[in-house]
Parts: sequence; structure tokens; C-alpha cells
Amino acid sequence: MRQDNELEKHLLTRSYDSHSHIVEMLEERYSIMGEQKPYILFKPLRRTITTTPPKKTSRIRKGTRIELKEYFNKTISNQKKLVKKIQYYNYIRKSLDLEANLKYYKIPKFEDFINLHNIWQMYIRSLIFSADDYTKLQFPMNQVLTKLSSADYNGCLITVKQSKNCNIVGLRGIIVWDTQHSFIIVTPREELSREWNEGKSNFTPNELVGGFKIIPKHHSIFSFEIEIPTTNEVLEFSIIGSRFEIKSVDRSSKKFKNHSIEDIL
Amino acid sequence: MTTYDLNISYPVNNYDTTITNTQLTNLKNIVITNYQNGIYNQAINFQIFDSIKLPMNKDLNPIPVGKIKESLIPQFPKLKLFTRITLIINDLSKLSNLSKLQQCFDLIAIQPLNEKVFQNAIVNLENNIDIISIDLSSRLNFYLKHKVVSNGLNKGIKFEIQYSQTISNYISNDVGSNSNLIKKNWFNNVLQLIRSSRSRGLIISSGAQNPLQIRNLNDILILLKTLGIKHEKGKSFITLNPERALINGKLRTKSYRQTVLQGDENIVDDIQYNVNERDVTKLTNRKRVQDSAIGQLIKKKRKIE
Repeated sequence: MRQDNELEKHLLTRSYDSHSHIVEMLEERYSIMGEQKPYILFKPLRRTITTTPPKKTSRIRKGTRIELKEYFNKTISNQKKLVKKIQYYNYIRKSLDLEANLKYYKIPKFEDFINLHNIWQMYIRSLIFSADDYTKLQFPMNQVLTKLSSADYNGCLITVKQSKNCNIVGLRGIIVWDTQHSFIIVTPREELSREWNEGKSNFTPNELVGGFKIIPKHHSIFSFEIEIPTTNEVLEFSIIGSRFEIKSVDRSSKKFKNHSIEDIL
Repeated sequence: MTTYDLNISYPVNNYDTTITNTQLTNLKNIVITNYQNGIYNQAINFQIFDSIKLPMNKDLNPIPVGKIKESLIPQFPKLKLFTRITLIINDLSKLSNLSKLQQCFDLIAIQPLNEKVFQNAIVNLENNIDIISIDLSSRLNFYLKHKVVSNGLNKGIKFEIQYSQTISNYISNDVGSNSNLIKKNWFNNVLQLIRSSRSRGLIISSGAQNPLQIRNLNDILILLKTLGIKHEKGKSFITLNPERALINGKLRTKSYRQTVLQGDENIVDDIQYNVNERDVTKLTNRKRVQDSAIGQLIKKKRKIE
């Protein structure tokens, strides 16, 4: 028999409140000289029905993936709401304070992600250029392409060059999340939203809002650029979206194969 | 829609002899006749046997494309010329230098002479070849299985039909086969090919050896109609499928397994690229920062800050 009688103590705490009383009972039970009761007296459990609603505890932690998904869904639905609002204000011919609304709906800004892009540039340069000289490639071009096919693209600035969905052609932004079938990018607003928008004065509500855009990889071609800091030039590459439909985790070990190119175009 | 003829046969069949002047004018005449018939994109086909060894320190592409273009482009501005190699293969084990050839030609085709080569080429050479061109003028010594052919089609390999073999003064590789026999074999074999591929992924090209063997598009479509192919489907043999073969050939050299591509040009509109660009060590995809998306989006912001 254990000295401290944890189990019995625990059982007794459910029916007796005071700690000293429990200890006294147990001492009586196991004392050599005393009564040595072969039984323990349990009181029936007190069931207290609480009428007050349960307290609001701090949010239960979900998986990171679920939380991320919820965040994207929420911001995208917020963007839709703001677009609707702008359309309504245009309809009734009233002006809208856009800056305040963007803040109210918590729509992410392109400018906040520029640092992420700079970090990505550093990563990709270390991958393909030789360490001391940025004008020389580490390998011949075909091996560079192999490296790039298994690289990470979170933080890369992409432009949609071709797509079956002509609404997204020309969109550009920084990749925030690379899913299996789509890129989630954060797009700049107004003049910078597309290549040919420079010098334009009136924009569509979607261009005014900016924020996250989900772009399917299938049937589209993206281009991205790698800076050469010394010569004021960039190297251009393109991603063929139809062949990139693999999770970024699995892509590093994937053995690619040529297929019929009907779905590329 | 742009139309293509991916097979104008080059008169020389080895690396030792060079093309004579009369042969060159003949070649130019074929190109011009094709151009006048409305076919602006043409590929010159260099045909060699697998027994020929590739020269070590010579240009692997003997076709003087630059020279032909220089003389023809002023008169015929829409003309686009490509180069293609066809390897006639009897034994696949002799074939080793495909990767060298990839750098020199726009298109790589093979002509299998037996079933073993045909099957192995589809299974093993899927990343290296664009076109399989079966010799239709002689009796096929194997049966074209649908399973094998459709396997090739899924991997992006196209199958070629040469129509000049039905035209009377065609000079075949085989000696001792008269023109009637060639025609009979041709129709039989083409029907086989159409059956096994379910009329998908086929290319029809001239394979002309002299200008009189060129036919215009309507004649080709009528010929296909006699073989039971409808007008729309037949058109895709001249326009869509050859274009895809060319894009496939371009992606092979300019991309890694069709994932990441060098440069950002529009691959459909601009299939042709210069011979100089094929040097893999050079960085041809450079661009100034001001013209790029980075310059427009990120550098601007830095200046303002």
C-alpha cells in the first residue's frame, strides 16, 4: 500500500471540500491503533446546474493550414464586399473614402509584401549564381532550369502572360501562398495593377481594391524575373502553369516528364 | 490560321558531301512553290541513317538556312523556315547523340524500320523526339497497335503522313518498287495509321523532292477526304498539329521538361528563334530593369521612400 494514497484522496475530493478533513479520514482508516474502517463514505455528487452561459475563453488554436485558409477566405469575401460598396456608391453618384474603407475591411497592401520579395530574390540568387560574381551563372542554362523547377516560389513577383481566362491576363503580384492548383498573389492597386494601366485615370472597382487574388495554374503561363544587382538588368523566366500543378513540398522531389502540350496553351 | 509544311527533303543525305548549286536552286524553288500555295511556315528535312557517325568538330546542321532566308525574305516576307532531322533507325542501341542534335535542329523526327524500334522509341525517347514518320511507301512489316500509338500521342509525339509518295515521279529509298505498288502500299498504310491513332495527332506534309510534287491545301484536303477524314479534322493536320510539334520542339530546348521556360516570349506567336540563340551558356533572356515588372513595381516604391 502506497503511503500517500493518491487514488483514494482523489476520489474523496469529489465528495468532500476541505483538504484537512480528507487527510483526517484517511489517517483514521489506515492507523494501526484506530478504528480501521473497511469502507469509505462517499457523498452523492452535487450537480450544480449553471444557468449563466459559458465564459468566452480565448480562441481555440486550430491547425495553421485551416487558419490560413480562413484568413484568405475572409479577406477575399471582404474584398468582394468593398467592391459591391464601391459599385453602389458609383450607382448613387456619391464619393467614397477609399483609404478609410480599405483600413476598415483590413485589405492587405502590396507594399507590405515587398520585403518578402526582397528576401526571395536573395534566396533565388544564391541558388543560381556563383557566390562571388553575380554576372556568372553557377551552371549551364539547362541545369539552372532544373534548379528553378524545384525552387520555392513564395515571395516571387509574377505576371500572368497567357491564360484561358482572359480576365486575369496581365495581373501581377507577389506570391503569398503556393497551393497545388493555384497561386495566391497580393496585387498592387490602381495604376500599378496591370502593365498597360499607367497613365489611366479611372479604374474598375476591382483595380481600386487590389488585395489577394487566387489565380489557377491550369492553362496559364506566368513570367518572373531575377535581379542582377551589379549590372542593372534582370533575367527573365516563365513558368508553365499546367505542368506546375504539384504541391510545393512535393515538387522538389518530383521527376517531371514531357506530355502532350494541348493543355499548355 | 497559319499553315505548315514540315517536310521538304534536303537533297544531301550525309555529312561528307555538300549541296551543289543546282540542288540549292531546286530547294529554293520548292520553298517558293509552297509559299505561293499559301504555306508560309516550312521545315527543311535532313535525313540520315543511324549508321552514319556524327562529325565531332563540325556544325551538325548542314542546312544553309541563313543563306536561303537571305535570298528569299526580301521577296517573300512572311516566310518562316525551320530545320528538321529525320533519323532512319534500324537498331536503337546505335543511337546515342540525340542530345547533341537537339541543340542544332528545330525538330527531331525518327523513322523506325521495325516494330521493336517503333515501340522502344515511344517508351524511351519520349522526351527527345517530336515526330515519328513511318515510311509509308513500302509494305509495313509490323502491325500498328492502337495502344502503342495512343501512348505516343499522350506524350506529345505526332505521326507524319507524306503525300508526295502518291505522286508519280517520287523516288523511293527501295529499289525495284514501281509507282503503282507504292500507291497501293501508301493507301493501306495511311488507313492503318488513321485507324490506330483514331485520326488524332497526325501531320500531313509534302516530303517533296522537286517543285512539281507540291500540292495546294484544297488538293490535300480532298485527298484526306478520300481516306475518310472530315474537312475540319483534315485542316488540323495542316495547321494545329504541326504547330504543336514545333512548340514541343522549342520547349524541349528552351525549358526543363516543360516546367520552367527561359525568357518570357509568347511561345505560340513566336515559334522561330535564331540559331545564335541556341548557345546555352549565354544569357539571352536579359532585360533592363526599367522594362521589367520589378522595375515598375518595386524600384519605383524604393525611390519614393
